[in-house]
Amino acid sequence: MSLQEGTTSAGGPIIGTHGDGPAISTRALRKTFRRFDLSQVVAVEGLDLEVPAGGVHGFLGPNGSGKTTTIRMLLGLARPDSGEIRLFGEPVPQRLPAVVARVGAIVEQPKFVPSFSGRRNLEVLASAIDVPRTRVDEVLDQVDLRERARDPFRRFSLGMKQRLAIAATLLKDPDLLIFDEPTNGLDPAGIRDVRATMRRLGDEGRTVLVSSHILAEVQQVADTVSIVARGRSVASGSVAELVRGRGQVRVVVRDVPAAHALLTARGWRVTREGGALLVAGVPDPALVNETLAREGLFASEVGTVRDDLESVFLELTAHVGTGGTDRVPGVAQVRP
Amino acid sequence: MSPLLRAELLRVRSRAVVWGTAVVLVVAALGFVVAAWDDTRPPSAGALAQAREELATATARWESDHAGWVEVCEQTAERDGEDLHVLCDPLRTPPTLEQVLPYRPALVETLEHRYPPMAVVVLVGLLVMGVTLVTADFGSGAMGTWLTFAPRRGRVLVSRLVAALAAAVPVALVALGTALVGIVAVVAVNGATGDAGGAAGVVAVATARALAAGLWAVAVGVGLAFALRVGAGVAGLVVWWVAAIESALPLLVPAARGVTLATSLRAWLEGGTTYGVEECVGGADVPPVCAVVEHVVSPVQGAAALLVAALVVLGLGAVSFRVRDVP
Repeated sequence: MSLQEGTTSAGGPIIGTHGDGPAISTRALRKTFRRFDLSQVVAVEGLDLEVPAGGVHGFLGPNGSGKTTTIRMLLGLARPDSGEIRLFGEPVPQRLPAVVARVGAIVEQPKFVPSFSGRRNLEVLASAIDVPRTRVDEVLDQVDLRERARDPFRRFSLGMKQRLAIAATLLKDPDLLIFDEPTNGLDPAGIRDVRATMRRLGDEGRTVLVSSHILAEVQQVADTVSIVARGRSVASGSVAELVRGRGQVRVVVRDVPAAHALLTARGWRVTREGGALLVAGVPDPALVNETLAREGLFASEVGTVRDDLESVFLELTAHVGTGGTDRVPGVAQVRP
Repeated sequence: MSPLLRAELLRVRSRAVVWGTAVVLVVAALGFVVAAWDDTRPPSAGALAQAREELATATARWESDHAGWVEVCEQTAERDGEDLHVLCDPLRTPPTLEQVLPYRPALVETLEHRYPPMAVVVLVGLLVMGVTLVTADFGSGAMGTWLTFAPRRGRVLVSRLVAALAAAVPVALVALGTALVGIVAVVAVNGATGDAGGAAGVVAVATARALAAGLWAVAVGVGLAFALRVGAGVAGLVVWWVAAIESALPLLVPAARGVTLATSLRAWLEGGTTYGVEECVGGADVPPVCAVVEHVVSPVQGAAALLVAALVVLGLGAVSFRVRDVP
């Protein structure tokens, strides 16, 4: 997919730029589902989410953590039990029609009329929002799908479907794009293209919310992230902020058990890695060296191991589990 | 015209189910044309030869016996006080070939017999079309995508209903037109047109009734589809309704026959209908006397009942669509 420079149908300014209020905000958002056996399933539990306007925002969470349900509530496809949602300051779903023209979204797999061609699907959607048909050609060009646009949607490959879905979101020339697991099922080239698209859209000043459980993907493209687990927000901020201060100290000593006991007694989290120890939660690596030396344990090697988003994610979600489907008394948390 | 309705019309024009329904209904219409041809076709050479043999036998019998038949007939007429000429004159004339040939209806009678039943076929076809136009989008997930462009669900429902009704009109007219033109053509080819006076009236009334019934079916189909979202669910409900409400309930509560959709539809399509309910009169000391009382349902009553049913189904569909999450 060779995405070209951003073209705008309306020619209007991109509104959602850095410095505005949040593009998305939720407060105490809750959503439950009923199973066939009438038991209640909690998908989202008191979620507070704030997505700044402009740039790419990663929405991270294990499978079943409520990401898709949250996105569906943002788009008015599912109704929250309680809580508040605002898109560009407008309450949703009450005022969704007022802001929907500024929002493009792909929820889970791209879904269109299977018997229609790719072009026909876009033409119908363009007609529904009163966008000229010339815009269809523009967005097809943007996702490099014009040559195959007359094929029925059901014959599209997964990558082509994803590109068509991106083209559909671009029909509106939106300020906010919501991509739910956009690289699922794509080949490496398709993944690279979608990431490049998201990054480019973010660089144009649009707000891109990308939900994913693939941490490397988010770390590569996102400016800011929110991490959710079991329907709750467990961390949010810039990627750099989340990773900073979460480095570990790797220390090599001759008497590993004694060093392990000593460092653990200081309240640090210590794990063994071969003949070395990894010490987490240490503000300064020199403290580790000093602690060991005072007790006559001399390190032959002390170094900092830089943490990545994956480590942060695992650390933050470890205590709440990653499956999300285990039931708690009376309720359970699953991805619907 | 709103952009949403324009988009729905654009979309419905491209739907395979619309074209498929038109094809199926045209094929069904050809079945009525074949039946009309069979009704009015001239006798074959074999049938004609057989008829001539029968005529010869009948003529010989008439020549030898008709004087006796007339005498007996006149005595009977005199005894019973009936018109002598009406009762006995036919016995004075020899049998003709037409009397021994199979009966061939003329155009008006053929239209009355073969054209109105097309309404039922149109109704069923358009019901399926209305259901499929909506359930297919829920099934494929296209409805969710659609709502991210047009989030006002009430407007989505109304625009889809209007588009489905708009698509149903040409589909129904093509099917009815095929049946009509085909029937007229085969009757003419078979040389059985006869006196065609009144044919236009028969056709106009039957077409109007069939078209209205078809549009009713589309509205009900769309309403059911928005309410249940799954084609199999709608099919199950329809089967249950026919078995429980249309068939079993009148057996248990005969008076319920008056409020079934089948009675209302028959009243609308046939210009009125009747149904009988056994009613008994009697007291503690008098044994009950029962008689079947015939109740009349006018076409207006039938239409009103159908309209109420359609509004109820559409209302349920609208509530379900507004309240439930969309996949």
